[in-house]
Amino acid sequence: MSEPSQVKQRPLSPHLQVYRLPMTAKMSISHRITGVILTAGLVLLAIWVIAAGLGEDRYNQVMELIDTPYTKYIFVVWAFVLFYHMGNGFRHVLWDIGFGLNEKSAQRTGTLVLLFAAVMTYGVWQLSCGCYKGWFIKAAPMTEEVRAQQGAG
Amino acid sequence: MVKSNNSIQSDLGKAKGLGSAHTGTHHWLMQRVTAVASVPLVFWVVYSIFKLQGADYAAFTTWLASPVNAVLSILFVLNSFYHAMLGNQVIIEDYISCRWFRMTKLIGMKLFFIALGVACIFSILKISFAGGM
Repeated sequence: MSEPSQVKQRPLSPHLQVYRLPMTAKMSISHRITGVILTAGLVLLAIWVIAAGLGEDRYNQVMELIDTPYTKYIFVVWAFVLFYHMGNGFRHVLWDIGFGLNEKSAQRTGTLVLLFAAVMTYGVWQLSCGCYKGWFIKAAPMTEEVRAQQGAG
Repeated sequence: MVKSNNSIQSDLGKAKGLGSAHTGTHHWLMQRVTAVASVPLVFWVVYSIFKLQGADYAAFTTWLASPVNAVLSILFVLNSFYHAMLGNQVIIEDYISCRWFRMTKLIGMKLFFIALGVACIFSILKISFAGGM
C-alpha cells in the first residue's frame, strides 16, 4: 500500500549531518575540542617561560605581544575551557571506575560539569577582571602600573 | 612453519603487523594518571597566571626562581605535556586515515612536545639556578 512512498523516502542511517546530537554527545566532542584548545594554551605558556629563559630583552618583546587589553578576557575564556575539560575528565574517570554509566546519570553529571565550569570561570572572571576587591587587590593595580610604565618608556 | 597455539591470528596478519600492539592499556592508564595528577597542578597554575599577569622580567624570574614554584612548574610541564601528547595522539589516530600522513603527524607532534618540554624545563632550571636575575 504505502510502498511507493517508502521507496521514495528510504530511512537514512543517522550520520553527523542529519542527526541532532544530544547533550551528552555534544559534551563528548567538546572534550576533544577543548583538549586541542588547551594544547594551544600550553604552547603559549611554554613561550612565556622560554622567553624568560632567553633573557630580559626577549621577555619584554614577547610580553609586548602577549600583554594586550584583551589578554585577561582570553585568560577567562581559557579558564572556562580548562575547567570544562577538567570536570569532564573527572566524569570520564568516574565512568572508568564504573560509576554513572546510564543515560540519566550521564545527563546529570554532564549538567554538573557545565555548572562547575561556569562557577569556576565566574570566580576567575571576578578575580582577574577587577570586580573582586579582596585578597588580590595588590596584584590588580600592578598590571596597570606596568602597562603605564611600558606606555611611557 | 611453527604456529603459536594461543593465537588465532593468520600468518599474513602477523607479517603485516596487524592487530593489537599490546601497548594500548599503558596509554589509557597514563592518560588517566596524568589527568588526576594535573588537578592540583592546574589549580596552582591558574592561580599563578592570575598573580603574574603583567609581571615584568624581574618579578617573573624571582617568582620562578623560588624552589617551590620551580619544582611545581617542572612537574606541570612534564605532566601536562605528556597528557597533551597522549590526547593529541588519539585525535590524530582517529581522524587521519592516510597512513603516511598519520605517521608523519604523530611523530612530528611527539617530537614537537618533547622539544618544547625540554626547552621549558631548561629555562626553568636556568632561571632557578641563576637565582632570579
